[in-house]
Amino acid sequence: MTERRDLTYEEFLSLAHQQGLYAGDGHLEELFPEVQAMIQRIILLDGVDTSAVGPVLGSNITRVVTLE
Amino acid sequence: MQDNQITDLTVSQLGAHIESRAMSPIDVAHAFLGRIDTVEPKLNAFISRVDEHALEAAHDAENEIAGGHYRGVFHGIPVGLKDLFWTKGIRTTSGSQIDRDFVPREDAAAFSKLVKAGAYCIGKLHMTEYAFDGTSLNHHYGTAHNPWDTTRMAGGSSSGSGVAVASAQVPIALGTDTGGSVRVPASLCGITGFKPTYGLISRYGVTPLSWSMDHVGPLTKTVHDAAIAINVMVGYDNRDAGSVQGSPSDYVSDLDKGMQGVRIGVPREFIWDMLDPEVEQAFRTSISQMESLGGIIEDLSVPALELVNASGSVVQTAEAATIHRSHVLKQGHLLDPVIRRRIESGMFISAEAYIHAQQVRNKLRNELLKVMDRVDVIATPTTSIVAPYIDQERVIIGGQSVPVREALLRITRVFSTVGFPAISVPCGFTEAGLPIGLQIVGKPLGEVLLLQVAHAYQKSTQWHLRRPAT
Repeated sequence: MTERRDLTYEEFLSLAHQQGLYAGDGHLEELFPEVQAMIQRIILLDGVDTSAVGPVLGSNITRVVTLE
Repeated sequence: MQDNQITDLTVSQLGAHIESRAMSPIDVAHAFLGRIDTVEPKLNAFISRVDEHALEAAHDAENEIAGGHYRGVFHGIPVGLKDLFWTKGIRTTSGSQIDRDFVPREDAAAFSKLVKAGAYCIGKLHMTEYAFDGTSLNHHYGTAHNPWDTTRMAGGSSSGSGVAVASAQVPIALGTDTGGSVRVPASLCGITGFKPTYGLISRYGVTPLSWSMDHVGPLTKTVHDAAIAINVMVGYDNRDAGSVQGSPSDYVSDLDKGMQGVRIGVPREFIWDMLDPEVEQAFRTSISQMESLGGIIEDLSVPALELVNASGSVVQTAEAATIHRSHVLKQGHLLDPVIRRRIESGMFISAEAYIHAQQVRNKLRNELLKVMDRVDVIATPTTSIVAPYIDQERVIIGGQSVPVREALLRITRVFSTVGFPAISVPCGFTEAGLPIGLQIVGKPLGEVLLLQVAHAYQKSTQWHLRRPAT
């Protein structure tokens, strides 16, 4: 299995175009580092085994804590 | 009583004076409006003032009370609202240019409960654009200044809420907290800020940033005022998908039970990695103080908190991108470029990565719950640093250069991500006179004990009684 890797600038431009993002005034050049930082967080999370965790969304509070 | 004495009172003190008819709601309104006139030019805590509305509401309260219809401690109390709480007939900008003319047709659920209890809106408070920043900078409405030193940030995103309470422009304000946005301004401004358990207070009628992480909470002078506000605002709301079902507790009646025998966990890792020395000293002193009050201090290993923050960041940004996608695509030029890029970065998170981040978040939340079996509450500093300068981008801590935003949010974000209740109370001041915050975290729906501990600590100190010279 191939691990997730960072985006190249060309891949980023292609995705940005697909999303319809504004491409003028150097905007995408400034966006690229933010996206890279986000991808790094996602790669960090890839290292966490969640095979036993269900796809529960949100932080559902299902348990009332009994206070002593 | 002089106007400056009135504005120095807590909600519960004001309520007692109004109930006894020693003070009129009209006098209260005039005192706070006068205070706003005096200090607002230096602080910029408000986006919209609603003086006429406030005076009209104060007159209504006066007439009702004179007619024998006193509703309780909030009757005749002015409330400041972060400008993302919808207010019927009053514009709600969410700190943006895009929504500068949005006038809601109803009140946010949390605020409407306060209105039912007799309170009224005295103004809409400064915030960072769409609540997506932990500073107090706003491209469109200027910067909210810290009342302890106006060259410094007030923290955010509920910046105006922190500034307005700390500078006595309002006795209580509402804020929202997605990564620390109630507790950070409370810490930097030297007041109390409380984020209850996820879903305890309805978010209906609050402009969202992140559906699974947004919380509503009060900013007040004291823990006691936070407790009385929570008592009014809690309750299930089927219009909020995250709302918690169940019977609300009474958050005030046990406040004076103290902290004898309460187990207080202090994390061994993470919080110490990046901590201003004066914040560390104040935190250590506050732990000793809690021990002297009967608290049992437990050294706690809390693993993987960096991962909690990474999962929170991915989830929050993906949800923010979904919420604001049309804003970015159709009116992106109206957004602060920094906020715009932050939102857009969420458009590069795949569905798989988002769901995996939610799984990680839930896994780590369950691990944290297990750790908390050993203790009743956790104590940490609220922020790693005190209020930075307004134009400061980075801060040096322990020889490391760290982005200001990370230093402000890294500790609070953990407990927004897992949804546990958390409160910030003042625990000291630096030599330069800047406030330092102590964060106390409870178990889910453990607000009663959490508030009890925070109140006991606060009563034993004088920090919350200090007022800025502004």
